[in-house]
Amino acid sequence: MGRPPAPSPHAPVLLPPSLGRRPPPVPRPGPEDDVTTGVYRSHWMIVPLQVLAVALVFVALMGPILNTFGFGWVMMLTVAVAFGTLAYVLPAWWYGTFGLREDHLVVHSGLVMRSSREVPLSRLQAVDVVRPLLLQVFGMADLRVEMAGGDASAIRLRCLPQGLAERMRAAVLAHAAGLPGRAPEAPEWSFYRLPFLLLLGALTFRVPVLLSFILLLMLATAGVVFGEYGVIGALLPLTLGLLRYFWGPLARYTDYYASLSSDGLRLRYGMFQRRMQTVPPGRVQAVRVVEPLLWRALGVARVEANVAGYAGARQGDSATLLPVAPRRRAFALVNELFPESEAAHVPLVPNRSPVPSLMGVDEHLFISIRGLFCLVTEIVPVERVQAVRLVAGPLSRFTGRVAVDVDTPPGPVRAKAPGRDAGEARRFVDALVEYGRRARVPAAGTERWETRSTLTRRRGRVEEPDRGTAGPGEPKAEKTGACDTSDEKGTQGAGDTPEP
Amino acid sequence: MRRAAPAGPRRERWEGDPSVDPSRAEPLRHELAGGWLTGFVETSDPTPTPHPSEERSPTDERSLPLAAAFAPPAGMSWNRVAPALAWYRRIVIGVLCLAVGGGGALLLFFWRSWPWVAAWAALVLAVLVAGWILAGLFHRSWGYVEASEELCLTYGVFVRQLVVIPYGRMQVVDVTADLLEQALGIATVRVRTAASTADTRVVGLPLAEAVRMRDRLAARSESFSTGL
Repeated sequence: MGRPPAPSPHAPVLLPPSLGRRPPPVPRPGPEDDVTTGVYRSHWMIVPLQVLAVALVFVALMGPILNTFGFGWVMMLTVAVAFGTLAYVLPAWWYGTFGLREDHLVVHSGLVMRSSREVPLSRLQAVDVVRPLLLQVFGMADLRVEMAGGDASAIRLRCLPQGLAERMRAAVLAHAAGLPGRAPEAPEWSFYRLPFLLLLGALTFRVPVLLSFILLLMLATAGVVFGEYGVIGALLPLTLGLLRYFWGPLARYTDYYASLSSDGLRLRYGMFQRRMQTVPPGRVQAVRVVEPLLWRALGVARVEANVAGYAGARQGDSATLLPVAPRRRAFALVNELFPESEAAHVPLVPNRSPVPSLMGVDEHLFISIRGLFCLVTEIVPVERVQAVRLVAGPLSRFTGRVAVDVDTPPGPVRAKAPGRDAGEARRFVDALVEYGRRARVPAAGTERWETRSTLTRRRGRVEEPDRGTAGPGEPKAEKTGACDTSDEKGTQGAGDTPEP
Repeated sequence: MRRAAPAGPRRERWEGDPSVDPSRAEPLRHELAGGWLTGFVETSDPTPTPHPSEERSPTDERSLPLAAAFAPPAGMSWNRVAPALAWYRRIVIGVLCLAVGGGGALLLFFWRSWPWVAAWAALVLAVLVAGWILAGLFHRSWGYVEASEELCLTYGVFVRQLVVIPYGRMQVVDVTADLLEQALGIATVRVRTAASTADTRVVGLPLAEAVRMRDRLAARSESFSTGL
């Protein structure tokens, strides 16, 4: 698998390597496909569907009671309820409109309580197109525009016709990038396709899952042999746990495909619920690479990220960027997410406490590697650090060890480096503050990324001749060899220099 | 511990201080009826004067590496907060102990006998004394410095923290004062960043100073703004 070239909209024509399946080409937008003007609403199909659902629920709940009065009553009341629902659903559907006004998304909703929201698209954090199984049957899709304000601030456009959802997604992203809404969708480069067998094997090959399987089989055998039905009480929680931690990710990440474009990272996955996520550049606040104990033997890892839009319940849904991938790919993704920086070039310092961990800061990244069994590598770009804190617990007075915490927007990543010597930790904090000061130039915002000159990408990067050898100036972790990330990426030094 | 000067002349110094613009702070101070207990409780110097480090005893500060790690940024020193903060905690603890101790003593008196009441009273008294001492320690642990591009805080007795918040990362700055704080003439400046975990506030500032600090922080968060 070759490394994909850096995505760049201005680069000369780079033919993407034909890796696996390519998504169907987006048709050139004609005048009828222009979604930048006009008023849109959900698919008309949801009106009969909602009426049908209410009528069915009514029959199921009240039918047995009303049947004592005769079948005619049931029919009459059901029809009455259906028309009553229609009288509400039809105007609610008709008045629930949305549309684009310049680079603002305007959403009207509600019938009794009218509400109208106008969202500046330059502030969007991520765009997801979600198609649950039921909606796939009817050719519909949900469009979610995530904003930074937490759970309540996300815009959910439910049950759109699928074509409209796709075109609206492209227009929303184009506006967010600072381009006119009619701009065609940015081309993409295949980054990673997850083979189903690797997903299955990696999800099985974990200590809790294997133990649960063994326990489940033992209990079931014991129950059958001794005719003891009490084991069902123990089987139930085990089965639920396996459903949650084995079947859940398996169904969710089947047919996983990640690609890179100038609009950021695009992810498509799902067996029953197809999702398509787009995380624009600069929206990822922190990343962690998780390597559970047995996965280290397989050489695979999982990548999770903090994105300000993925708050609350959607955190678990969307925060995983790579469910299972070879370590090399995982760290390559980290480098793509934080352009102009190299995670492998950060000098790492081991701590002197019984629990080994590594920590490093350079002018672009803060890295902490910790965990005895499940190895976690937390990476935060210094310009995205919200606050730095030095924490000395009650025992620090005797051990002289403190922790360095790096605050990021909420998500799975809680970057911290525990068990550092006090003086060393303070030097790290000072360095982090100083590097952050330099990195936070006022023009380095992430809005309208296509039309800014500050958010550069490594355009002149060349394919490294030998990926197996580490690049020059590699840091070497002195203590824990397994923690060493340096063999992940060897990129030539020219790739790191930002463009003028 | 650093002792504050008596309240009277200091008041005049606030108003006479040319670096201070009282016109913005004044209405709020009147509105919140700032400080009818201020005659009773000593308040500290509101202007953040740099504070010679030898005032804190050098033996326990500079010799330990832990203390050095929590030192202020180079060339600066921690601004300490008003002693009214300690009184705030002491009043809260005192009222709580009075309520719990009194109620418990009454119940024990009716259900049990005198020795139980005495034991209960001793327990409550011990809690009160511990809380009294801790309030003083907690007050002394507080410090803040407005550096060139970030706000630095330190606080905590059991879990000691040093927090550095860049001005450009501040999303909301607000001043709050509950009833007791208003009575003591102090206020809390709360700073929110996009990280919800960060509980970043400066407690126990005199109200006028809190208002000025909020204005300063808000202006700087605007001028250093870099988006999310």
